[in-house]
Amino acid sequence: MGFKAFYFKYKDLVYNLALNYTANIEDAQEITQDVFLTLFKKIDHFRGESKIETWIYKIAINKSLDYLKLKKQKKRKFLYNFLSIERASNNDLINFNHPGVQLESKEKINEIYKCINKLPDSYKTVIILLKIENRSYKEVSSIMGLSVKAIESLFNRAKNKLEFFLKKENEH
Amino acid sequence: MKDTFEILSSINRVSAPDNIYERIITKTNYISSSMIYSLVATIFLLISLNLFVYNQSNNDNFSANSIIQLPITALYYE
Repeated sequence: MGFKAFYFKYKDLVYNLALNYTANIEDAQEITQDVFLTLFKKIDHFRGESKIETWIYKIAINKSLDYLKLKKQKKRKFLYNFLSIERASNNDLINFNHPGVQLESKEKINEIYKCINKLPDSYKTVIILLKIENRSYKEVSSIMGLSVKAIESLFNRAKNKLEFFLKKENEH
Repeated sequence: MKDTFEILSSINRVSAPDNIYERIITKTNYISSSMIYSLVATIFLLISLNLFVYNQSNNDNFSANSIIQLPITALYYE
């Protein structure tokens, strides 16, 4: 399969996953580009031990998380320099611009996303893969390199933490 | 909490914009400046090596020629 055919087969998978992490069109485009450039360079190293989709998922997840970290760092640095540290910590909001979200649920999903973004990377990933990407526990276990039981327990912890943040958000 | 996940699963899948492919192709065809520098340095090294070898072989030829062109009186006979 040529690179063009490969790209057109998996572009939506990568783009939607990046959108589900960033909830922003520009960021998702940037990540998709970055992921395919990496895949283009590393395609010869793919050993076929796992499904190609799983491999693409792993790369896309790592790129999305790295991108978010870098963005957060830049934002913090900027705010630290020009405003104050206190404001930076309260201002971790994302520029919510997700084209897959319907208008009537936009406000609610934006609120959920604010809380998802406060979660640790593994919690965030397990929620996105299970509840937004609608992947099975088995698929998530091979993507994250953990057992199904570990994924179940990780999801329960992630769910509790998200619930805690949502309650806190509603109190304000 | 069930509501939260139901809302999240209502997020629709979208199609990736076409311009991303063009951007990727432009980037894959791009030659970085470090690559150009290393290419120039390699060419320069090869030319220098060639010149050095050429000069060396010229010097050797000169010494060989000078032996051949020695005056006949300088030859020894047993």
